[in-house]
Amino acid sequence: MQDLSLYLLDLVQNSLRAGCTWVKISLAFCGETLTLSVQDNGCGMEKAQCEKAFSPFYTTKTKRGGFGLPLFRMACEQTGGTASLSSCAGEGTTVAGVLCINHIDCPPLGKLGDTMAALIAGNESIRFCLTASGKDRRFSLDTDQIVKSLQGVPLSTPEIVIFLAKYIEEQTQIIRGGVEENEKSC
Amino acid sequence: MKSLAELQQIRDKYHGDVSIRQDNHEKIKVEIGMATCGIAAGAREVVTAVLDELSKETVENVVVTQTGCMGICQYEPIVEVFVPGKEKVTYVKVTPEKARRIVKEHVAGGTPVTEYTIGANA
Repeated sequence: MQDLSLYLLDLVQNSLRAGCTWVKISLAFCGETLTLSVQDNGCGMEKAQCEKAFSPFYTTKTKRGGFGLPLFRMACEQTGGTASLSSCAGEGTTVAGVLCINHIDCPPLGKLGDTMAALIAGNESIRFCLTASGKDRRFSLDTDQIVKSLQGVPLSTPEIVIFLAKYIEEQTQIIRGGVEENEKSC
Repeated sequence: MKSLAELQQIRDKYHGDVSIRQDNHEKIKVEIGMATCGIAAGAREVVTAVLDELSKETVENVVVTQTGCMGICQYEPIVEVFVPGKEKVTYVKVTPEKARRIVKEHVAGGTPVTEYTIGANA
């Protein structure tokens, strides 16, 4: 994938296929590392599945595939980072990756706003909680709260989704801007 | 700098609009492949182009959905348009520019763009 926000979009597809009703996506910038995580309340996996999940070509889908998790792990490890998952059958799964953002092979973050737009537009009944944090700064968005404030106007209305994409993009830039300022002052 | 107060203004615009609260089975469905193959090929950019064009065309009885891998990964990004009462149309190797034309001519205008369909490109 060309950027990290596309990996996030891909990881959330696993959560959706697992029948989740909510997904928590978090980005934590800390010094030179970025920790990404996708947590869901889907059907989860048995221990045997967890052990195979990062293997290329391993999939429970009927069509070929099975590349999302291995590609994500490769992206993290290319930067000197790691990827892992924890899961409990019947409860849900969390996939997490740590990347060194200053590494030459670290993909850019990309348009997180567009990733959230694609998710929100195509999955109106799913609750998405996004958190981005850096030193002294934090941004969070919960689609349940947005739905309440819309008072019956559908969340998937194109103009609303486009607005949320731009809002998320701006807020994420503020978090990242804060991180860069702190690094310069060190 | 955007704020959530602006969201309320957008909400107020649509508040009285009954057509956007229609049941989904009465709406035109635009389904975009969003498996790893689709995402890697550019499906997200197709989604944002579709949403942007829909907001400009002010077409209201449309729902954008996503689907998994259809098994023809070399043709991704794939967009399928389902108009109630008509056969589905499958578009392949869709780019943001093609997606905009599909929204204008097929979704809003009612005429499929045959040169982008799987039949014309397989």
